Amino acid sequence: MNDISAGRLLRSNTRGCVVGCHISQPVPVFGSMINIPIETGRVFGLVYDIHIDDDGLVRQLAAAGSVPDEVILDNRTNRNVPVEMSIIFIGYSIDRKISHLLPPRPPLSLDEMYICDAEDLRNFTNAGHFGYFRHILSGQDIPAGELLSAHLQAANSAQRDGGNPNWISEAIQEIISLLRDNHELMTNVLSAISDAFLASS
Amino acid sequence: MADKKTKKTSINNPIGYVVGGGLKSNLHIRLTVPAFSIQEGSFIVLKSGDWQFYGIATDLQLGATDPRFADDQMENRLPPSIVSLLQGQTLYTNLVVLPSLMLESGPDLNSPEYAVWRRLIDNGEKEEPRPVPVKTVPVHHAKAFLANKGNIR
Repeated sequence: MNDISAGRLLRSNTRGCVVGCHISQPVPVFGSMINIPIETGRVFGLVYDIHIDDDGLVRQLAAAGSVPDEVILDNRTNRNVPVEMSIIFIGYSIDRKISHLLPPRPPLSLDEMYICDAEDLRNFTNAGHFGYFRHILSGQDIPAGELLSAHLQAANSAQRDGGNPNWISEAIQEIISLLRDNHELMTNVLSAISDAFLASS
Repeated sequence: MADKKTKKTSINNPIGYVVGGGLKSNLHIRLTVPAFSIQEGSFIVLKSGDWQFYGIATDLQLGATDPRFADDQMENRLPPSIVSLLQGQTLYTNLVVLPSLMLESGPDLNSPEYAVWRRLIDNGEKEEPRPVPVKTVPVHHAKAFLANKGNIR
């Protein structure tokens, strides 16, 4: 388990949360699986949006003609506004038992977030039968196709390293099964998955 | 799920399962084997609970969960491995079976209930089962098999 904090929770609800971090911290990439330790176990989620909001100084600098490199570096490393990451919850664990249901209660503000390592990914994706896909596919304002393809790439890599090369076929089959009555979303999701795997092959 | 393109038929392997139909509108069997491995006129056995139903294949119909999956040629847009998985779940063939006879086959041979059922017949308390004209339908998802020589006799 990775023990380097990747940020602290700013706000949350049952379905997800927003985490803020400093630019010097390890910022998870889009689609990364993260976990937030709580009293009874851990809450798992996927990063579906990373946003870098402006502050007053950035606006002034952007409006200025030329900005020296050291000013840009100073502004980036000493930002007052954190890098914000939107997280969709996909499951939780209690006493190391993993569930793909939404967490019983969301984590609290300033709880720390950690990036899941390959073992966490394998343990989470091996539990149950892809029940967490429904949270991704039913999420509003979430780029489901892009998020799933990024997650499948990372999980496939972890599963292959763990000696389970068939995991990806089973995962895609489950996605097709969930979306077979929704042609538009299915085409969108499968196109994104194809692009991801064609790019990586 | 088995690959429909490569799965072979044999007497002991199911060829599909009941998805709908009725006594008057025939039974619809979702094939789990390639369409070309079943022909019109084949004798079909359906196993449902303690009963076996016998019928004749009268039609084969191609279908899709959404007509757009049948219209779109996904081969041009997606890798073959994904196309294969997609077509396996969204495109299908339904076998139309005209049910004609039904036979009480009793509980599973290895179950304790079978001995009780058999004893009732042997003691004359229950009639020896024989094929009778079909009066009911198998349940949803009852498995379908190609009939063997014994079934046809």
